[in-house]
Amino acid sequence: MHAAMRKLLTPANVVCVVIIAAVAAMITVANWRDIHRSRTMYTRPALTGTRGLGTSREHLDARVAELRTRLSAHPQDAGLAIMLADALLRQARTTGNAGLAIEAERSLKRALDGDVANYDANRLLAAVYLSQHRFREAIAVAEKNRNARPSDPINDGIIGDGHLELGDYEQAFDAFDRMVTSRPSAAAYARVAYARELQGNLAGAIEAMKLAADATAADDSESLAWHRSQVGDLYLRLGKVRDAEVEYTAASHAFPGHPFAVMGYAKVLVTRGDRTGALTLLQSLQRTAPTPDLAARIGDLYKQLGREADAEREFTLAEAGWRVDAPEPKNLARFLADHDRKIEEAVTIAETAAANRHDIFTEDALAWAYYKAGRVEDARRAIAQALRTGTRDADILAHAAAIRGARQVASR
Amino acid sequence: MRRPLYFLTLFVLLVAYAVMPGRASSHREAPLISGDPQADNTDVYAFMSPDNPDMVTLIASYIPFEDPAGGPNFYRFGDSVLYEIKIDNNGDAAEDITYQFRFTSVVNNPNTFLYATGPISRLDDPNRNMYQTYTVSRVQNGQTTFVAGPMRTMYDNVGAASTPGYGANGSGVYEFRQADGTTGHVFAGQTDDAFFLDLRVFDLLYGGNLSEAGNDSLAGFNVHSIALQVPRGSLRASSPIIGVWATASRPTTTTRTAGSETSTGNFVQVSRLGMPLVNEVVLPVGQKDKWNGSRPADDAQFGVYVTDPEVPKLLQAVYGIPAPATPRNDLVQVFLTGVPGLNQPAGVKPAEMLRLNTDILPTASPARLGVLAGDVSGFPNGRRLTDDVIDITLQAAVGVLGGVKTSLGDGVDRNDLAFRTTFPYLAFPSSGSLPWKLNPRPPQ
Repeated sequence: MHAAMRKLLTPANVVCVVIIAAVAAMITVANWRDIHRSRTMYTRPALTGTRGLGTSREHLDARVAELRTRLSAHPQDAGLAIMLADALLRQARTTGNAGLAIEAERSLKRALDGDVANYDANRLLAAVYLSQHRFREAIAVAEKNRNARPSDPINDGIIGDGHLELGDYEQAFDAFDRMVTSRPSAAAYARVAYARELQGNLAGAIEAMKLAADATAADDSESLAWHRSQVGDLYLRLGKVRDAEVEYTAASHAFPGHPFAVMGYAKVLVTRGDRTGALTLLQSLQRTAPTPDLAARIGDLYKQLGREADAEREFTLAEAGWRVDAPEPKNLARFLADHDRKIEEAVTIAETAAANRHDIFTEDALAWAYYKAGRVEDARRAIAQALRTGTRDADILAHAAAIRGARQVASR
Repeated sequence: MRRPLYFLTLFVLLVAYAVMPGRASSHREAPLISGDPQADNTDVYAFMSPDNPDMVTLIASYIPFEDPAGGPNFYRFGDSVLYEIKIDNNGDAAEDITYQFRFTSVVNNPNTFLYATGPISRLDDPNRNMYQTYTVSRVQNGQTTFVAGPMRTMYDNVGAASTPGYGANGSGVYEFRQADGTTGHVFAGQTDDAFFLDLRVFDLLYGGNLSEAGNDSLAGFNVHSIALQVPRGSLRASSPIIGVWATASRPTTTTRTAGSETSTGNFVQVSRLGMPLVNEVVLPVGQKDKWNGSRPADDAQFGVYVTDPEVPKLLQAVYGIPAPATPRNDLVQVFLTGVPGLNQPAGVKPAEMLRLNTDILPTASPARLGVLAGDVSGFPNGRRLTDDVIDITLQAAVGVLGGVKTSLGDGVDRNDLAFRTTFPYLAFPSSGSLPWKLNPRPPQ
């Protein structure tokens, strides 16, 4: 044996070398496992917003383009398909183009074709279903994922989100509490914030949403803008316009042109009487991220400015948009009721929606449609459901007040 | 002229909406998957101070892959994160001494989101628009013995215009006095990432192999580090051997608060790191969240990954290396207890952490291969900044244990930047004036 080796293999050193060799062996095997988990290539997925993968608009565009190219070259690489789906989901949030979510689903299904138990793919698939408002499917997939990996808090987030949208609030809040207790994170804090807001605790919601913003990575520009915009919205609900403005400005600084920041800032301008400024902002957003909601808001501004024809054009766009926006009928019902259009149809749409889910916003849409249809008692029952969480949502409270007033008139 | 345009617009928008079946109704699609780099512990170092052998230096780094040019949102410690460096000085796998760090962000002028409103020439420069203060406290046997601060973190190296002459205008090092009268030093702020390796070593899939190695994948990236230097006597109990690990914790809270504004609850540990590579490599992916929330005292639950490891069986299958008989109690002992005669405390309870023998003085010429090169003041006796953890493991993997003489490695033998010779020893962070490393620069 060489002298160097004799020196190396002293009683103390041998043990060190054994440790080191074992770690090295584990590195080797980790790689071997990855390579051979399927007979095809598999790139270990790294998701946007993690480990330096930025989420600014430019970063997302570049990442999607790169992954599409790589996936074309290696179509069997499930890891690439997962990463592409993840990036597409993020891009869908900032462009309003849900066609990207469809592409994400297709990409994930391709990954799952070769490996139905692929945990990363299933986890993202649940998130895709959620984004497409296929809530029950999302919950079902997330529950399977939770069984596969109980320590992953994301699954409780998806389960909670699904129940929340369906109006099963106790189940939703339980899931969020599990999530934030097992692994506090920006995602968990944001969900706690919304749960508090639904219960009328706006100050507590701001506190939790600020925790979420603080827990967001500096290079996750998109999430940062989203969280700051949410804090802004909460401040607006409390009437703290200046605080809201600071948050929207910070959001725009992090992610220029983020839709939520632009819409929030437009609301600030409206509260200050600058409807023309708000209109200009929303029109600029409409050019890059058209949505029915945006068209309706623009129409409302036109109407307030006395430009009836322009308003009607936007309302037509909004209505047409919501008619093909099948997963969200409550929005169409609410829009029709708000604008005194086709009230009987609004009632039918809202009743159909409420048969499928009983979240407070669907109940509110139903109540408002009933009210506009003159069905005050039905409206009273529905609005009671909309108020059941203790929400301080201004629209719901206004609708409740109107319904209450109408009932009193009817009583007299 | 308006009507055709109107119909065209309507058509285009309808087409656009038609491919958007999932148009979000609500504002409630909070991001589900995002990293938590502020609480992501990248590396822990524990070593006897080369310029002051009576002092122990402890370093914990967070926020991996900081791109120096990563504005406009610059990096910072988490205000709601509890950062801790823990010391077990009697081998019972429980912390006896904890140094806690808490940070508070301050914005001088909320009307601007500029990090600096002019050149920053000192830590308390009024041009430093955004900064953090911090406190450090020591908890011993459940009691807080002192709190130092608030102090200011060292500012980010934003770029030549905002932070000219970086490093020449203050080091960010503070001196503090402990309850026992001894003096220590503390630093918190942005630094160079001291870990050096070629990540292609981990990327065998797309052609990564050792012949392609040689680039420090972390060169030019920054991290945020907290560093502490205290007399060894203030850390030791009856044994000279201390165990060291770092954690990050976030406050839990609840959805059901009934109007409370102060509803945050207990801290939940979300990150844990002691020995390098264990969390990244040894543990299966599905165990990482569990590991990050665990305590060393409960490490027996992870013992199965050592007593009956899959690794030797697969090595036998792939490389023909005979797998030793199980259970591998030898590995359990060495992974979790320290090395007998070097850094194993008497009566040790098995637990994963860096173990440092504070009686072994630092050498003037540290060998990058540490104990493999006969330098017992290096890894795995604690971990110095210069210890080449990757090369040590690679050389062992190809046969050092069996007598093979090799210089195999990832081709990265040292950090891209020179370490400083005085506390906190870490190199200054790379400048934001350098080109973007990870991401495309947004159009100007």
